[in-house]
Amino acid sequence: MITAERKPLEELLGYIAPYGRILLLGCNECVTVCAAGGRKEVGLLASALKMAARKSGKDVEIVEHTLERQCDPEYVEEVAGLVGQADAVVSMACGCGVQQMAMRYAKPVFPALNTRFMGGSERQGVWDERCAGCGNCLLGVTGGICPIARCAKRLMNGPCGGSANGVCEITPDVPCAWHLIWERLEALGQTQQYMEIIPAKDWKTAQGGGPRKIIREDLAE
Amino acid sequence: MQNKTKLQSNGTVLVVGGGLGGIRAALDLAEARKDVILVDKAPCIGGLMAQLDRTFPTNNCDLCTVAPFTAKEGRGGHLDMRGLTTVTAVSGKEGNFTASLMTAPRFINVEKCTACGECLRQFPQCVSFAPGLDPRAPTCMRYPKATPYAYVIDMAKCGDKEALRKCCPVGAIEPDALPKAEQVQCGSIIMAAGADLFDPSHLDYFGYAAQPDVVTSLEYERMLSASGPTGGKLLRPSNGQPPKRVAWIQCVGSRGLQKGAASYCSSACCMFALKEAIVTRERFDQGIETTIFYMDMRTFGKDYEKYLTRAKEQYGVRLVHARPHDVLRPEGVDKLQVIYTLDEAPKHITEEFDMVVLSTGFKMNADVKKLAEDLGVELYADGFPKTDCFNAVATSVPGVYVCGTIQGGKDIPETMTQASAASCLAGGKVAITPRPRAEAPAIMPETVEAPKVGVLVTMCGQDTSVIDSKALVEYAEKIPHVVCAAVFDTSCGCAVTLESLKSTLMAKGCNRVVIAGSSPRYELGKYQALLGQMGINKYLIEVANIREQVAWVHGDQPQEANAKARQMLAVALANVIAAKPLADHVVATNKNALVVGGGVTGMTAALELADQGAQVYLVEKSTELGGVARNLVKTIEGGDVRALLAGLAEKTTKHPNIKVFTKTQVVDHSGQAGLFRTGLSVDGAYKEIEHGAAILATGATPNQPKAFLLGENSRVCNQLDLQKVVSERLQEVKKWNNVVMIQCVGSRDADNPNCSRLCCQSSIKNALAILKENPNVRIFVLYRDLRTYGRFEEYYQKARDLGVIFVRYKTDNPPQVEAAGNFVNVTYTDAIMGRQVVVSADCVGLSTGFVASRESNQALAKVFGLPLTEDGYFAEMHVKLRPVDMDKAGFFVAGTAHSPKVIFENLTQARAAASRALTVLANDTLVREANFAHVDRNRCAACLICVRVCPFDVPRITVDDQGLGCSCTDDKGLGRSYIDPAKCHGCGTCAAECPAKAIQLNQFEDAQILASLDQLLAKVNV
Repeated sequence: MITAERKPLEELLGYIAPYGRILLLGCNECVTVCAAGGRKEVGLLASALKMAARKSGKDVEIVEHTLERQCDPEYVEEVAGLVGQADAVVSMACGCGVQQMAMRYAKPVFPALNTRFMGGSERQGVWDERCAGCGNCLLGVTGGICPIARCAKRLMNGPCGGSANGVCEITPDVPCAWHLIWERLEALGQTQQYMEIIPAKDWKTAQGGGPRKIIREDLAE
Repeated sequence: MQNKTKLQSNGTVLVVGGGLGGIRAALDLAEARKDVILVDKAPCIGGLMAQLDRTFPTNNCDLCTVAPFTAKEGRGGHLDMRGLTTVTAVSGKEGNFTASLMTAPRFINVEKCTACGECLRQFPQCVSFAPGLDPRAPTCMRYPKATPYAYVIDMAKCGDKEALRKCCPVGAIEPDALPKAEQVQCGSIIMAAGADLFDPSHLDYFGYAAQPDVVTSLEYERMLSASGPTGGKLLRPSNGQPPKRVAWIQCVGSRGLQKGAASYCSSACCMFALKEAIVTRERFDQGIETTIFYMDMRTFGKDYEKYLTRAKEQYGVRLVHARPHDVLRPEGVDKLQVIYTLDEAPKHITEEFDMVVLSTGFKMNADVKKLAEDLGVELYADGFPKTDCFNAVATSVPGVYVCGTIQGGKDIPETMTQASAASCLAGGKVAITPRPRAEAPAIMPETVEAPKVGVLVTMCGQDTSVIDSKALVEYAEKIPHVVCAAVFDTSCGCAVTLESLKSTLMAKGCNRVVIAGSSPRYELGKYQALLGQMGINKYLIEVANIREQVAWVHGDQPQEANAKARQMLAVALANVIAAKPLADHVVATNKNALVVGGGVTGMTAALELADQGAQVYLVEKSTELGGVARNLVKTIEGGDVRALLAGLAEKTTKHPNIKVFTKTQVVDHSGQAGLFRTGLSVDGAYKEIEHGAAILATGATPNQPKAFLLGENSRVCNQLDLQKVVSERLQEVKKWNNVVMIQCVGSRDADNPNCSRLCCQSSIKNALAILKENPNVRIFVLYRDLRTYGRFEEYYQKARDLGVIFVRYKTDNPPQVEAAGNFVNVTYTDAIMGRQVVVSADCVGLSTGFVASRESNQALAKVFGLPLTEDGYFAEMHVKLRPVDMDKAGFFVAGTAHSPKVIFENLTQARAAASRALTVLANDTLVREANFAHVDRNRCAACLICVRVCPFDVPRITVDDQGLGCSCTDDKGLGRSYIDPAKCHGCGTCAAECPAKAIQLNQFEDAQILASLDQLLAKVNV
């Protein structure tokens, strides 16, 4: 899941200051699940923006709407009418959704969220980063724990000297990914895996090769 | 639940007397699906309680609280109520009684009478209220909202029968009606005929017969009441002026030896007088001085001691420990003189008062006594029936039970408890009568019409006098969607009836209703029933609680109060306009019961339930059954507690319907009445049980305060241990010369502010037992107020006759106890001699009473989600009217877990709790109110937040139809959240947290809340 957090209200007020009619657009996918941009957050932000506008004596009209998914053109097409009546769109989707909207419509589109990372939920209200999208997954040889996403230095062959008592030197809140990998391999009886040298990573499959694209020949026309 | 062996007997219970006790017993039976006939000699049911103005300790007017019980709707056809009816003869025996009933003519056809009041207006001489102060004839409509809601005529006072017949617009008057005799069969009989109040007319020294300003406490109560002869104004009968000083004299006709007074204590009068004194100051005039002359202040009930403290400290009620010997009014003087003597000053004191109230006690009614004699019930010399020492509701005749004041003076909660206990035993003898329940199906219109709202402003006399109801109606009429608005006076003999309201609302085509009045808790059901009759969904109603939330709290600020009332009405209107019709959820019930606590109370409750066919799980945390009663030997009446205990334990362990779990604790719990699921730790192993009802009988802990060398000196012990010494170490007891008992040790103090109730009788019991073994011993009982209520008073009298010395001590001068060689020296101050006395005691018995088992109660309260009192006892739902029900439906409390009490009272409560539990277990299905959460599956993002936040673990993300037992078969629903209405508690946490706004809580949908808020904050939004 893509995780995100809402931007500070001041920043959003700055974006919409020139406009009177705003379409505030939520997304019912990842950002709903990480409680950043679903219907509830849309409602809360709409109220906050209205209150702030009224406090400063400004008249602003905010239309709330939430799409099933903002990163697909078909869904985005659904709001053509609403966008037509608005001066600007504030999207509560991740960066993908914001761009989908911006590509489709000739109106200003502003992000309401800071898209953070690909992660999973640890428990209610807590999410952590699990995947860096490097394009060449190593999890099969690292006991299911990713050293790219979870090691501060993205080391490929064991921990650095900053690993102590299982935690990373950057902060005690971060467990050392390689410590975790070792414990996991030990538990699985696969410590020989650790002895295998992982060669230097080719970052071309990550962002090193520029913007990426997937084309499924069998599906794409 | 049907026990086939009982089918031989007649399946009906006859309840004689329609006061609160009779009503409760009849309702318990009817709710447990037993047929019951309720007869009362009065034209309508209600008894004494319907004449009260307020009731202690809440000081509420409880007429509205009682009214729903007395209303006949919805008893499933099991309850047959007959007014003006007496039982003339009874024959047969348990299982097959034949009762002869005589019904006097009412001269009014109840089916036709609409209680319009036209006959009252045209023929007031045939019509009245009473008692006492009203000179007119008995009685037309005894109290507002009487059941049956119809007038009655005293034909002897009517001169022109034809004119009377014609005055009735619906032709309900039948001047030629004749008395009707009838015989009915019944399996058992509950006598709930109440008691009379002592008539003080012959006590010339109190001047009751001669002085209009000397009244009885019930007459004073009527003067306070809004429905009373003075319309709720407190005025001196002699001159119509408000009184400045009022005195109460306690124990008139009780605790006496002469002039017809009873030897027992009437139990309720101390609280009654305190209540009247508080209400006088609170509601009428802070300036009225209130003085109570008392012998012992007997506030022994649950939290009653706190009420006494409040009366003294908060309301400034003056208490004088004295028994006035004269009430005089010299010639030409406008005031009454009360003459009395104080303990410490042996001289006459004369004090002037404007009014004197005589706290008259209870007395056996002659007709009731005759009926009891006819039944062959053994009676005491004073006419009250004798009851078993472990079963206060069982008379000497099998199948004949008693409850309420017919069994002896008592207050309302004790009456209610006995009534339920009697219904448990009487109902146990008869089988359930299957009758189809005529439950109205939920009305779910296909299309929701445009809202047309009817507004009812319900007023309640004195209580709501600050509200300008007319202005409120005018205000309501101007609000959009309101099609009609009216005032409905619920308390004071109003001519407007629910029927006429119904026709008004229907004529205007109302499809939603707003009630601006009292708490929805008591009133809502009544109005929902009205909606049902009108064909409107019962959830299209909203209550603005302007009685409690405006009138009660802002009574002294009329302007602001009325503004707030308008605002609350507007909010309720906004809410009801946004409301949706909803359907209830019907579920099948589980008929097992859980009883927590294996003492005498728990075992008794379990046995009563098991005997009536329920499967009972009895959970005890220790290794054996018995509880605190294991320390007891005998009751004050001589009842053998050890034999009782052995019998109960054997029956319980051998009963096929009871499963006993010892060394067991409750660890988790979920569900609702009829469908509970409770996790037990049985000697360390987890076990889950399912049950429909639960009874808490977890007991209390004998108090062990650090005081008077307790635990330090072997000659100082508590009453429990003293009882053991007397029964087991006779040689030692025979050598004793002096024994001192000290009362209220660790009770009625800052740490434990309540009275432990049982210690006064327990020290007298021990004193009598010691004297039996050693007649030469001198026994001193040092007490604060001797609380030998009811028949315990007779043992107090006996102890004094045998020479036990009772000495009052005050808290600012408590007795001193110090070790002196082989003895213990007790020093106390004798008020009459005015000096200190030292007693070298062989034994000091401390009345240490009970404290709540705070820690274990807290743990249980947390698991079950139940409230505790400040002291740590389990809190009942309503201190007055629901003494064994708990706030959580399906849960009941009995025994010392509720508050300290003596063993027979615990057993009565156990039976009462069983009776109440049977009303839940007798139902095959349970209607779940529609206030559960529901998921819009099209919106649900299956994010799991509801699953994680639900405190009751109810929401599930559906995987397949079978896997999670959910009822959704809709493919589109799979992979979405599902909330089982049967399990949802309606707390709304999930609805608040759902990030997709897919969950709404019925009755509290966003649209409704936002509409209310918009209305409330309308000015801000402008």
